Amino acid sequence: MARAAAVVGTGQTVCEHRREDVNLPEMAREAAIRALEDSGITPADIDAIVVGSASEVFEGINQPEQWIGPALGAPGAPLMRVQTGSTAGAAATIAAFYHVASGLFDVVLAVSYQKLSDGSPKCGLSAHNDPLWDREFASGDYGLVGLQSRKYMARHEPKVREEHGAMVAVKNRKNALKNPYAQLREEITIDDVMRSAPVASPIKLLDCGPSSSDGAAAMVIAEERRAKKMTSRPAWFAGVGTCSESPYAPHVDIAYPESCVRAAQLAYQMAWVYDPVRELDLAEVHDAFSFQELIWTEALGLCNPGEGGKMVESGITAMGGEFPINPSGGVLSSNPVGAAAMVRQLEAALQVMGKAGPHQVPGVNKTLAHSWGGAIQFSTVTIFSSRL
Amino acid sequence: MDSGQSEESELTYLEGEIKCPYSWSTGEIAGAFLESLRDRGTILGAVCGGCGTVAVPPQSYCEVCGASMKDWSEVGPTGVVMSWARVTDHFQGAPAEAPFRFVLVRLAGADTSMLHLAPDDERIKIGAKVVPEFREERTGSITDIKWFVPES
Repeated sequence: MARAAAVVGTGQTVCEHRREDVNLPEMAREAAIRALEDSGITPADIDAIVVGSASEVFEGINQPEQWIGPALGAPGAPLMRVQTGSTAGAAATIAAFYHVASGLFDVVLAVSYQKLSDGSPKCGLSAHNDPLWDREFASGDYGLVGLQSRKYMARHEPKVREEHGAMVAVKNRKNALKNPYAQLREEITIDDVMRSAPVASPIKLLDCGPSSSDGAAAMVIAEERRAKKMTSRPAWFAGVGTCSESPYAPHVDIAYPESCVRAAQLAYQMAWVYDPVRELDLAEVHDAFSFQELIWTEALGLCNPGEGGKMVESGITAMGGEFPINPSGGVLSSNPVGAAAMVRQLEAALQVMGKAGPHQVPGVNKTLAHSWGGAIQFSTVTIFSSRL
Repeated sequence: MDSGQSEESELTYLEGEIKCPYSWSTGEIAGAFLESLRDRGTILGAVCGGCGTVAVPPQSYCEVCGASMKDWSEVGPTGVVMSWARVTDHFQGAPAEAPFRFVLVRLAGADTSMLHLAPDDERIKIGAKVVPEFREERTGSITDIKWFVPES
């Protein structure tokens, strides 16, 4: 039987286009130290560390975890790194949860980071493509998500229009104004988005998150007894789900990815959630591109297929709406790839702990964090609860 | 920490480049597919021995039921556009001169879609029928198909 575990402290760095004052391990250290301080513990209290960052090709350094133990002040701690594309940060948190739930470790630190300014994100993304089939087309995320967004829109036309993507971008950038850690903090209009430079139509420049982000995140995860000692309001892990599928399987539907649907089902089952939009208070989803927020909203079962556009247009998913999505400003505002997935969980946990600051949603008890990675093939869903 | 250096002389990053040659294994199955593409200009799908799924591009195992592939079946050359995205501005490493389109194509007789390119032609839209345009000099790569053009 799994033990209960909770997030007891968090730390993140202000996301920037380029951090010149620190290198990769120093940036990771910054987030980790904040998480330890927030939890009221020292590195000596850490039983194990789980690191998550996406591909080495982003920073041009293989084995970036080589520094992490010492950089976090815990050189002797058991350490492992998990890598599942852009979901790596979220997978690290889930692996840390498994560490604690298994009973083998009491207090585990999950850390994620990405310093995209060190490398060439676009070249890096192309290097993820299958060398036999996709590599030469260098479609990266832009091409693939262009295809995904087109397929989604075409399926639900006229219920979903190109402007609905723009509405997501406008909403999330507005939310980012209240998040001191967000990178892009400028209000934009639907007109700005619609008139921005085409990237891979229907995706335009302002439908995308930042082209480069340097950022790190960390969370301390503890078993029940220690968690209750460390904070009066931990964010309990109520449910987790991860799922992967192939880019080429016959049933792959990038406009309604099965990996996302299944990861959500696993998490809902574990958390005893039957009607997610009623039982949960808000969600942080991996909106690397604007249309994706609508696609995930549907695949996570937060609305019926084809109703993603209505969700954003009616204001349901805005701050102050019935079901806010990405109160932090989401990935559209900051995208330190592997860390961005963990930030979704971190923000969802903060909302439960009542510590989200200026973008805190009132009366939150249960939240969902989602991330996607790879060729739209990895998905993670984490549900936090204020109650055990 | 104060290094005593003036602000102008501050060195905060090092420039560098990594170039590594690779020789990616195709394995026998993908190898046979690429050989057929190069030598005969035909597109082969792998047929699952368990459920009959036809996979293009092929691999030795079925992604639906997990059984081994047992046969080849020629697919296409006609395919259907499942989705498209238009690129109008050049980007580093772009696979063709902009404008062009990324397409997902499902070839006749195949159960899977594959990523490829198409010219920036208004007829390239979801549901459109397309055919491959082969290169004159073929090397045994998926790019032996230059791109997919509207079926005339």
